[in-house]
Amino acid sequence: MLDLKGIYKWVNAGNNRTFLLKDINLTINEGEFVSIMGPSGSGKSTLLNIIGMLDDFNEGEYYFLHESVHKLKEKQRSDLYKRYIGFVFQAYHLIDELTVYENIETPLIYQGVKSAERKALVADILDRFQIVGKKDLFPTQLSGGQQQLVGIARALIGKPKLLLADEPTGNLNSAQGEVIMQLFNELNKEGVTIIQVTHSEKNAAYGSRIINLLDGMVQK
Amino acid sequence: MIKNYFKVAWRNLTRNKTFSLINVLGLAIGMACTMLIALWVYNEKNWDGYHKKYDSVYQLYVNRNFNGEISTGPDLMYPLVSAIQATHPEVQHAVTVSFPGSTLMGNGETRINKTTLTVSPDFFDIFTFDFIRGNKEVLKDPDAIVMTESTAKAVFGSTDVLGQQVRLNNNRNAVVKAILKDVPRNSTVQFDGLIPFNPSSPEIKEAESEWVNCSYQVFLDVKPGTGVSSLESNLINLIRKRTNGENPTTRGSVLLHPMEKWRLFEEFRGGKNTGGRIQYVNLFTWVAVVILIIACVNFMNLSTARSEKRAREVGIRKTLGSGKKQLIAQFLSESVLLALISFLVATAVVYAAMPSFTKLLNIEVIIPYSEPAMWAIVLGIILLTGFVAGGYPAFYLSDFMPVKVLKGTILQGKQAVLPRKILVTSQFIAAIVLISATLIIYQQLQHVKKRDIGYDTNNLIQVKANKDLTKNYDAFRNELQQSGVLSSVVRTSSPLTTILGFTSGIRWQGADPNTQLIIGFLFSNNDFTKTLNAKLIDGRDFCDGDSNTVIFNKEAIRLMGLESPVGREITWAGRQRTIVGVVDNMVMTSPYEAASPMMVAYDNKWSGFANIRLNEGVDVRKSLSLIEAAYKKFSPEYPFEFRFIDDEFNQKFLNEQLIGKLAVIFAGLSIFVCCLGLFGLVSFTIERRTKEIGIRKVLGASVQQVLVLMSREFLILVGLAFLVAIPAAWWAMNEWLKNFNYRINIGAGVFLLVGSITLIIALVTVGLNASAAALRNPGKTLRSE
Repeated sequence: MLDLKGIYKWVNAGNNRTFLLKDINLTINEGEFVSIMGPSGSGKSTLLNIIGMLDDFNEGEYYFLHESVHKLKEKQRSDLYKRYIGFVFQAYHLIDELTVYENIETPLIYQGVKSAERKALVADILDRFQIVGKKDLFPTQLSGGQQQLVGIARALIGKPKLLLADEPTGNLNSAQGEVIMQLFNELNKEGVTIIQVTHSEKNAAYGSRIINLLDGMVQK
Repeated sequence: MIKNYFKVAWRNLTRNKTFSLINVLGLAIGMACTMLIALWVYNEKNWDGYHKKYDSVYQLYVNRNFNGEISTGPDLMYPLVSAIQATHPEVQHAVTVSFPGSTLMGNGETRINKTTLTVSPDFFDIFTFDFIRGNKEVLKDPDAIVMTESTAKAVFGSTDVLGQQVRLNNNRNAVVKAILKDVPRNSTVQFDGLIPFNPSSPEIKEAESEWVNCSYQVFLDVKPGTGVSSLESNLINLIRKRTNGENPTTRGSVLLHPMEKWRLFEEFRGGKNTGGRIQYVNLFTWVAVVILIIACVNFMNLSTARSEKRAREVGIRKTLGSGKKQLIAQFLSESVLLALISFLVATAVVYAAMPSFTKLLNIEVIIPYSEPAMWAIVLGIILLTGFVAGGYPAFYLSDFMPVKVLKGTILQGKQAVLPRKILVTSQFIAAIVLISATLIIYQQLQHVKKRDIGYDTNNLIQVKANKDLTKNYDAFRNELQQSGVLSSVVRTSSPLTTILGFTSGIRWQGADPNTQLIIGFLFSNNDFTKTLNAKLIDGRDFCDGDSNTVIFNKEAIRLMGLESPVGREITWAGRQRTIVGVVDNMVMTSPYEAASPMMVAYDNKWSGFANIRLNEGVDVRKSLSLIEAAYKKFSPEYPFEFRFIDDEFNQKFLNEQLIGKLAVIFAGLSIFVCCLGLFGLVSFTIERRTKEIGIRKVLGASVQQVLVLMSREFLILVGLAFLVAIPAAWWAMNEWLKNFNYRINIGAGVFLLVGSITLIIALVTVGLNASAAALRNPGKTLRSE
C-alpha cells in the first residue's frame, strides 16, 4: 500500500544539522496493523506525519497506492490523503466551536458529499460508537475518552483505507484505552490498514507488526 | 458550505464576546463617523444645487482698493443691469436684487417684520423657486408682492390669499400676486418675500442714472461657452464708460462668481476668490478617511491577532482535507460578516445621532437614498474591509504544513509584530494631531472671545426703531429713564455688530490729496459713548445741542494723521463738521481682524436702532416689558422687536465654535479607536509571551517588573508617535491660524498637555492588559497542550 525509500528529514540550527529521520525504508501492505515504537525524540510522530502527508521530508521517495507523493503538488496531496487516510491525534484536536455531529461531518463536507448522504453516514457512525445522545454537545462538554471517540469517528467517517493514530490512548485511563484498542482491532478485521505510534507494549501487542525507531532510524 | 462558514463565524463571534464587541464597536464608530462626515460634505457640495441654472448663473463682484487693501464686494449700481442687457447678448438674463431688508407687513391688527428682497423682473428666470400660486410674470407689476408659504400663513393665516392687500411699512399697500414654497435652507439666496422695483417711483428714476452709488446685487445668467474673463473686462469697461469721473469702483475690476462656488468659496483676498468653507469640507473629508482607515486597520489588527489562535483549527481542517481555497473562503466570510454587522450598527448610530448632528450644523441634512453611487461606495467599503481584514489570516495561515500549524510553531519572532507596531504608531500620530488641533482651536476661540472689543455688550438691548419712534424719541427716552430700568439709550443708524456704510469723501485741512481714505461710518445721537461704555480718549461724547459734530476712532485718527483732532473741522457729504471726540477702537465687524477706521456722525433724524443699556441688577424680563409698553405707546403701528447685543456678537464665533465642537468629537472618537488598536496589539503580544511571563515569574520576577517589561515597548511606540505628530500638528495649526489677524501664538504648554493625556491613556490601556497576564499563575501558563 505504501512505500518509503531512503527518507531523510533534518533541521538546520545555525551550522548544525540535526536529523529527525535518517534513511527510512519501509513497506506497509494493505490490511496490516503496524505499531511504531521508540523512546521520546526517536522520530515516531515525525514519521507518522510524513506517512499521513501532514509534513514533508528533505530527501527520499514516498509511494502511496503507487502515487509518487514527493512529486505531487499540495492540492493533489490534499485530495489523496483526504480520500484514503484518517488521522487520530493524541490531543484529539476537535474543533471547539462545532458540535459532535458537526465535527464528525466536517471531512465529508470537504469531500463534497451531499447533505442527505452526510446525514446518513454520520447517523450510522454515531450509532456504531453509541454516542447518538451526545451529537449536539460541544467537545468541552465531553470527557477525554468521549472526545477521542469522536476523533476516531471523524477519522473513519470517510471510510479511509489507512488509519493513522498518534498515541491514541496517551491521554486516557486504562479502561478508556481498552475500549479504543478493541475498536481498532475490529476495524482492522474489517480491512482497514492501521499504523499506530505508541509507548505502551500492551497496545503494541494488538498489532501484527512492530517497528522500532531510535534516533530517527529503524532498528532491525 | 457557505452556511457552514457563517455558522462557525457566528459561533466564533458569540464565544469571544469581548473581542467581538471591541472589534465591531471600533469599526462601527469609524464607519459612522465617515458616514456622517460624508453626508455633511454631500449636503455642502449640493448647496444651491436645485437651481436649474446652477451651471450658468454668476454673481457680480467688484474689487476696490480701500486704503491700500483690495476689498471685494457684491455691491453694484442700479443702472448696470439694463446697460448689460442692451450691450451684451451673451448674457441671457440679468437681475438687480437689493440687499436683504426688513419690511413691516400689516394685515388688520397683525404687524410682522419679514425679510424681503426688491428685485427686477428677471429674478425667476435666474433662480428656481416653486410657485404654489401665481407665476413669474407678477414681477412686472410694481404693486405686487410675492410671499413664501410661511410668510403668507404668518400674515394672513392661510395661503389662499391671492389678490389680498398687505400694508408695507405702514406706508403703502401691495397686492399678493404669487405664493412660493418656502425657500429651501440650502439656497444662498434667502427671503420671506419679494417686491418688484417700481420704475415710475422718483427714487428709481433717480437711481437709473446713478452710476457712483453702489447698493444693489447683480446676478447674471450667461450663455454656455462664454468666456468669463473677457466678459469681466467688458463689464468693467462698460462701467467706466458710463460713469462720470473716477471712483474706487472704476479704478477696480469686475469678478464673476459662479453659483457653484457661492457656498464653499465665499472668501476673497486681495481681489481673488481664494476659498472659504471648502477648506473645512476638505479638512473633514480627510478626517473621515483617516478615521475609517484607523478603524479598518484596527479591525484587521484585532482579527489577525485572534486568527493566530485559530491556527490550530486551521491545522485540523487541513488534516481533514480542506483545501487552501476553502480556508480562505471561510476566513473571508467571517470577516465580511463582521464588517456587515459593524455596518448595521454604524447605520443605527448614524440614525440616532442625526437629530443632534443636524442641530449642530444647523442645516437640513439630505440623505441621498436614490443615489446609486452612495450604495456602491457603502458596499465597497464593507467588502473591502472584510476582505482585507480576513485576507491576511486566510492567505497567511493556509499556507503552512498542517503539522506546523497544529503545533503552533508558525510564528517567527519579531516579524509578525513589526507591521502591527507601525500601524498602531500611525494611529497614535493621527490621534495626537487631532487632540492638539482641538486644544489649539479652543485656545484661539477663547483668546478672541476675551478680546477687548472696546465697548460693553452686557445688558445692552437693541430695539428696532421706526419713523414714529424717531418722532417721539425724546418722550420715549424720558419715559424709560423715569422708569429707572435703563441707565442710558442712544440711537444708531446700523446695528453695533456691523458697519454698513463706507465713504471715501472725508476731507480735512492738510489731507494728502492723493490718498483716498475709506472710512466706515454710522449716524448716532446723544450719549453714544455713554450708552455703549466705550472709552473716550480725547474730547467728549455727543450731547444736546450738537448738530454737525463727529467722533472718530483711534484708528481713523491714526490713518488721517491728525495731531490734536478735537476741535478740528472736516468736510463730508456737503457739510462742515467738527470733531468733538476720539473714541478707542471698537470691534464692530470681525473679532479676528485688526481695528478699522470709523466715524460716528451726529444726526437726530435717522431711525435705525435704539440701543438701551439696562441698569445693573434689574430684572431683565420686567425691563423688557416696560420697554415694550413704552414702545407700543409711541409707535403702535410697529411690532416690538429686540435683540441682546451680546448674543448678536457671539454669532460671529459660530463657525469657529462649530469647527471646535466637531474637532472635539472626532478627536475623542479617534482616540477611542486608537485605544482599541493599542488594546488589540497589546493583547496579541502578551498572548504570545504568556509562556515567557510564566517562566520569568518562576525565575523570580515580581508582578511590577513583568508589567514594566511588557509596557516598555508600547510606551516607546507612543513616544515615537508623539515626536512625529507634534511638528505636524504645529505646522498645520499655524497654517490655520494665518486666517486670522488676531490670533494666539502656539505655546509649548499645549503639547505638554497633549503628551500627558496620551501617556496616561496609553498607560491605562497597556496596564489593564498586562496586569491580567502578569498576575496569572505560572502553573497555568506553563502547562503544555
